[in-house]
Amino acid sequence: MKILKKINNPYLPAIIGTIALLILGQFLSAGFLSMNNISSILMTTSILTLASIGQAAVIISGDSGLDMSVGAIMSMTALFGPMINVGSGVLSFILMIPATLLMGAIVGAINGLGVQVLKVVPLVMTLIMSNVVNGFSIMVTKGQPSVMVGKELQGISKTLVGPFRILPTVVIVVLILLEVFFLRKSRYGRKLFLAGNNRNAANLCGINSKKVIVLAYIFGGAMAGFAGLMLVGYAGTAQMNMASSYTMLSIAAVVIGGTKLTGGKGTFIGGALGSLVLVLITNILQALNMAAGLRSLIQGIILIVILMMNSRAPKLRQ
Amino acid sequence: MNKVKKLISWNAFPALLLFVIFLGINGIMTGGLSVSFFRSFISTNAGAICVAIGVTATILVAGTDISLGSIVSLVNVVIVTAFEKGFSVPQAATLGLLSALLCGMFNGFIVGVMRINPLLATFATSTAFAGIALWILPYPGGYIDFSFGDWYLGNMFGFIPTPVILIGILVILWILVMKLPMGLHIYALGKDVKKAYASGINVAALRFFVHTFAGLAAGIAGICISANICAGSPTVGSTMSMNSIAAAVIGGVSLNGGIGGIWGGIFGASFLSILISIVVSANLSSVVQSFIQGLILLIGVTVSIAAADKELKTKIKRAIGGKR
Repeated sequence: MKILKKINNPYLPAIIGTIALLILGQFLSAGFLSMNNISSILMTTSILTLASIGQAAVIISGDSGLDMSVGAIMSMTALFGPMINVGSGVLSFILMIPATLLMGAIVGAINGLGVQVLKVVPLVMTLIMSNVVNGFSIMVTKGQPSVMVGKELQGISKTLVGPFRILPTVVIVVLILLEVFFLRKSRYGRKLFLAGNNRNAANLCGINSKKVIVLAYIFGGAMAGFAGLMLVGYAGTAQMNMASSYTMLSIAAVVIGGTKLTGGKGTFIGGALGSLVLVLITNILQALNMAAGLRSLIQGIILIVILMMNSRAPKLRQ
Repeated sequence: MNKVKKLISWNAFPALLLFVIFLGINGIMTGGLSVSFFRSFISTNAGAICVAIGVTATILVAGTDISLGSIVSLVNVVIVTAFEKGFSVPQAATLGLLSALLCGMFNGFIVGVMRINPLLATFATSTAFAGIALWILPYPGGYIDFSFGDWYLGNMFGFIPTPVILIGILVILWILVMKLPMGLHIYALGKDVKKAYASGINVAALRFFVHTFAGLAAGIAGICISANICAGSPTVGSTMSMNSIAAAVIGGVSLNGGIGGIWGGIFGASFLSILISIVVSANLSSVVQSFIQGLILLIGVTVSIAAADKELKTKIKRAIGGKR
C-alpha cells in the first residue's frame, strides 16, 4: 500500500484528469468511448508521448533547460524522413528510423553545444534553432514539399496488435523500457538527475555535467526526430511546419505529468499521462464541433486551471 | 574617453553596434539612407519594437511573456471589428488598448498572485487570447478607415512621426517608473526573489505591474500594426512574441533577470527588423531567406552573449596585456 501511494503521487492529477475527461467525453458525445475513437486517441497520444519523452529529458537536465525546437525538428523529419527511398519499401522504412533519429540528434547536438559551450540561454538557443531548422526545411524543399508516404510507414497506424494499433503498443513498451532502464537504472540516468538537481554538487562528484546535459539535448532531439516520422506516417501527408504546435504541447504534457521546470525531478511516464490529458481535451472539443477560436479559448482556460491546481510555486514566506 | 568606455560596457551596446553596422550595409545595398527610408522603417517596425519593450520589462523581473503576440492579434481584431460595428476610429483604438490592458492584467494576476511559472502561464493565456481573436474574426478581412493610416504615417506636433511618439510614450512611462523606488525594486526582484521578498518588496504586485505594462506595450503595438496595414487578421502577431524575446536577448537583457534595460529591447528589435529588410532586399531566392535570417540571428545572439561574458573579457584583456 505504501509503495502504491509513493508511485501514485506525482501522477495523481494527470490520472484524475484522464478519468474525468473520459467521463465528460462520453457524457457530451455518444460513442466517445468506442474502440475506434479510443484507439485514435491513443495514436495521437503516442506521437505526443514520444516528443514529451525527449522534452522531459531536457527539462530534467536542469539549468533552466527547455527544448523549443521540438516542433521544428518534428516538422523537418516529417518532410525529410519519407524521402528516403532505396527501392524496397521495407528496407527504406527500416532506414528511415535511424536517419530521422540522426537528423534530430544533430539539431539536438547544436542546441546542447550552444547552451553549454556558448552559454546561450536554452529558451533562446532552441527558439533560434527552430527558426534555423524551419528555414532549412523551406530551403531544401523549396517551399513545396511533395512527400510520398510509403505503405510501410503508413502501416504504423493501420497494423493491429490484438485490439490496439501497433504504434501505441510499441510506444508503451518503449516508454516503460526507457523509464526503467534508461532514466532510473542506468548510470547516465542517475547522472542526469544529479546534474539537474545541483550542478555544483554533480561537478564535485566527478560528473562531467556539461557532457551529461549536451547528451540530454541530443536525446531530446533524436526523440523529436522519431516523433516526426511517426506523425507523417499517421497523417499520410506532410506540410511545412505541420508539427509546430507540438513544442508547447510537449512542455505542457511534461509539466502536467508532475515534472518541475526547475529540473532534477521528473518521469517519462508522467509526460505520457500529460499527453493523454492534452489529447483528450483536444479530442472532446473537436467532437463538439466548435469554432476553432472557441476551441482554442477553452483549451487555454483548461490549461490555466490545470496549472493553477498542479504547479503553483510555493509561497515565498515560510 | 570615460564616456566612450561607459558606452562600450553598456549592456545594450552590442545590439546598438549590430544595428548600426547592418544599417550601414543596408545603406550600401540600397544606395544611401534617406529620410523616407527611416520613416518607412519605423512605421513598419514600431509594433515589433513596442512588443520588445514590453517583453523586456517582464524579463527584467526574471519572467517572460510569450502571450504578447496573441494580444497584438487580439487588439488588431478588436479594432477592426469595433470600427465595422460603427465606432469611430479613436473609440475603436481605445477599445483595443483597453482589451490589451485587461489581457496584461490577467497575465499579471496568474503569474503574480497565483505564482505560476511565467512561461507556462503565458503559454496558456496566449492560447486563450489567440482563441478569442480567432473567435471574433475567424478569417482575415475587414477594413479600417484610411484616416487611421494617414494619422499613423503622418506627423505629430508638426515634425515628429506618429510611431516615434507612440514608442516614446512607452519609453517615458518606463523611465518614470525607473525614477520611482519601484524601478529599483524591479531590478532587485530580478536579481533574487527571496532577498527581494525579505527586504519587504511586494513581489506579487510588482509582477502584476510588469505584466500589465507588457500588455499596454502589446496594445500600442497592436494599434501600430492595425494602422499600418489597415486590415484585420487573427494571426497578425503570432510570430512576434518569440522574435521579441530574441530581440531582448540580443539587446543584452539577461533571461535570468535583473540585467539590462528597455534600450536593449529597442535596439535588439531594430537590429532584427533591419536584418529582415536586408535579407529581403538582397535579392536572394525567397526559399533561402528564412534560413539565412535564422543563421544571422544565431550569430547575433552568440556574439552579444559572448560580449557580455565577463570571464571572456578578462581572458581577452589578459591576452592583450600579456603581449604588451
